[in-house]
Amino acid sequence: MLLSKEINKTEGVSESSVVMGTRENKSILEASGLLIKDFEATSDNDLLICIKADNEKIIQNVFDNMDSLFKNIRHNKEDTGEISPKSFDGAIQSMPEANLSLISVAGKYAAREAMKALKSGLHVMIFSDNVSIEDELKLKQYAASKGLLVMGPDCGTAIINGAPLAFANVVNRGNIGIVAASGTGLQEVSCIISNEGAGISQAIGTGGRDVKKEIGGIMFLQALQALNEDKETEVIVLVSKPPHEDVLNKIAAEIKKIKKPVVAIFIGGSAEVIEKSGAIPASTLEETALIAVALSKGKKIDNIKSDLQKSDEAIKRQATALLKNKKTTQIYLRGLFSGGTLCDETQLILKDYIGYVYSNGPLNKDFQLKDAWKSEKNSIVDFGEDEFTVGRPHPMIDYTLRNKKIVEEASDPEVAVILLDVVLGYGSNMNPAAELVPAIKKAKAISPDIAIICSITGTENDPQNRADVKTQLEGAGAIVMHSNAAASKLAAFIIK
Amino acid sequence: MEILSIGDFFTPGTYQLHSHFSKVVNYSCNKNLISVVCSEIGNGPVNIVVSESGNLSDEKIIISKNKISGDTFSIDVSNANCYNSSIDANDIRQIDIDFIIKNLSPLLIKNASELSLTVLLDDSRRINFSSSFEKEFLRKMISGAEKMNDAHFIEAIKTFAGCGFGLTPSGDDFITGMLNALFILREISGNKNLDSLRNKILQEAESENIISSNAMKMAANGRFHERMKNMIFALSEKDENKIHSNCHQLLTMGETSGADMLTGFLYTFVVENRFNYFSKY
Repeated sequence: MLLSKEINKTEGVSESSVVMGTRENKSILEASGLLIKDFEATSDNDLLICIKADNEKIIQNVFDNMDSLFKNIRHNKEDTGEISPKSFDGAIQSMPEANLSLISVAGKYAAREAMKALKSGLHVMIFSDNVSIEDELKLKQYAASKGLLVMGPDCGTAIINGAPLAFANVVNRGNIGIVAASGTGLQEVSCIISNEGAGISQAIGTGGRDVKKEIGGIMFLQALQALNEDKETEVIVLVSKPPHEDVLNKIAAEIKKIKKPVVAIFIGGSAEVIEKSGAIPASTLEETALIAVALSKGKKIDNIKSDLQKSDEAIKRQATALLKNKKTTQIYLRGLFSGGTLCDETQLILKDYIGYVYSNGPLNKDFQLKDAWKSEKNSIVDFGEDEFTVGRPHPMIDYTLRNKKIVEEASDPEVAVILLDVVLGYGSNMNPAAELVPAIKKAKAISPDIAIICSITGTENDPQNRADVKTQLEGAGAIVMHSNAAASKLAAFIIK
Repeated sequence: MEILSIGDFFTPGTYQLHSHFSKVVNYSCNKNLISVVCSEIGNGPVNIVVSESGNLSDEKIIISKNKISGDTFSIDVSNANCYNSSIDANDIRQIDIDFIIKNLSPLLIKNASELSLTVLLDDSRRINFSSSFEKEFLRKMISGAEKMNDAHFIEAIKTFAGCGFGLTPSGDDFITGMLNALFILREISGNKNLDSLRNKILQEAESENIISSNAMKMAANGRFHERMKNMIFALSEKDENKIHSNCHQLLTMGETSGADMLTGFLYTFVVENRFNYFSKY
């Protein structure tokens, strides 16, 4: 079927069918006028390629190019690179100087491959999820004993020595080091830092479970120590969901030993322990980045809170202007997110303005969506959760489901705001505007007064180019804010 | 190459290379098939899961009880992880047909690829069949479904078998799913006549296409690929999250194969629910 689709792209081809040469398929071909005499001698195991075109020359050209058509399919399906070793040993042979291995295989096999890499003296990033917590603990204990890092499992983002790994952005190199147990949190902070003119020395992901009691923050602490020892790192940023109390105490104890300034955001967690440890707490990812930038440039941070307040006032005025268009029946907000941490941050910000909202990963269990596909009142859905991603690409890559939902939400007369995150960088969809613009236009055509608010996590050096994406989304009628926090606040002011 | 696990339904013999894909290498011996697959494809009754299937280029491999060998390798498998492809009747007796229909139908209709046989569950998908081959194929498949509705099962199988897209034609995948469902219905109803119906269906549907014939043979024998087995357990446990994730896993099989198989599986339950043909067969 894929080959048929590829053949149909050829100019002059009106129809094609690529099927096995079973008697039954031949009878269908006959009924549809596509059976030729040459097919009569074929068997169930032969592949029949039938093409209807304007003339025979076109058909001949298609057959002459059949190899490249097959290659196109393979390329589309596998996205092959120049070197594609089939095993860990093969990868090591093709790159003996490697000191880090990125593991992305089915979860049940990932631990085994990761251990192979560690035993070969390599740091490891495990992109795979579905690795048992027991295996994670074993790997991290072994790595710690050898002075190696294990980033993950389920670690989506890291920037090591300037190399973006997995989902990561092209950011400036600089003197700010990040340890994060949160992938999109790391991306948002590193992008804002870069967009503000500062840069990243290292950004080390640990995987979200690292800060849970069972793992005890083994890698979070190891990464923190590594950044403390790293000469290029002058400011350290910590990003995570709230760690387990025991882990938080260990992190606080480690921070106390560090002389470099440390900025920390434990999204939704208490700032008290952070402050006691001597680190600077922040309440949003944007604030975290701005504090880190000021510190990295040797500036005072006293003005940041008042600058953000001024920014909030401006957002409020923007909301007031937008409210003029809102119908009285439009009362709800629908957030459709691809980044889990951004989804959490938005819920926290909204809580302060409009209270808890429904979600498939709610802050308050009473607000659990019964069905993640069906929004209720104010709802924020994380399309990166398993119910949406098993068996299909991550929503940062494949916009299909979210686009469908954008149009569906716009058809609900009670919806005033659709809030979206757009995450750029390596690994993400290479042309998000081309994916989103038709859906946004359709939504605006259905509901012209609806506010579609986006944040873009990315930089102008990303392959997608943040500025280009912004221009295209705005051209479609979306409102693009400079951060997820700002986008969330604008949405909150409109709904409030 | 390292063997991670092996299936439990191999026939020993000397197998010749049949077809080579990036993640699957098939070998055949008479009417038997074995598939050397990478971990992403997963376990199956005749699958050998290896660490690097794409590298395997041996023209033949020899399967014996304790050893698998080729031109370039010889591996002792006496202690290899063995995948159990059968399903214990006690694990599925509580399966609820209403629940299956209610939960699986919307998932399939929402996510199956456009030209899959899910069209038999949702008329609005007919619009996707636009070329003359597709229209004629659709006409035939609808007629097959109508024969099932009229309890003319063997006639329905004759209509479905060998028809449609893919290396395993859509109709064959549908029959594989149907055979899987009939196994479950046999276990929950205790109706032994369904064993003979499964055999009749297999006899009617088998063809020279060794890959789809093999899949149907496994299904008729109550043997399941890991993805299908997981789905059946999820349905038995009524675990909606697992149903969701397993459905998506199955839908990634081929362009339409997973969807066609799930449609055959579900359609059999729909027919049973409406007419009780199978429990009374």
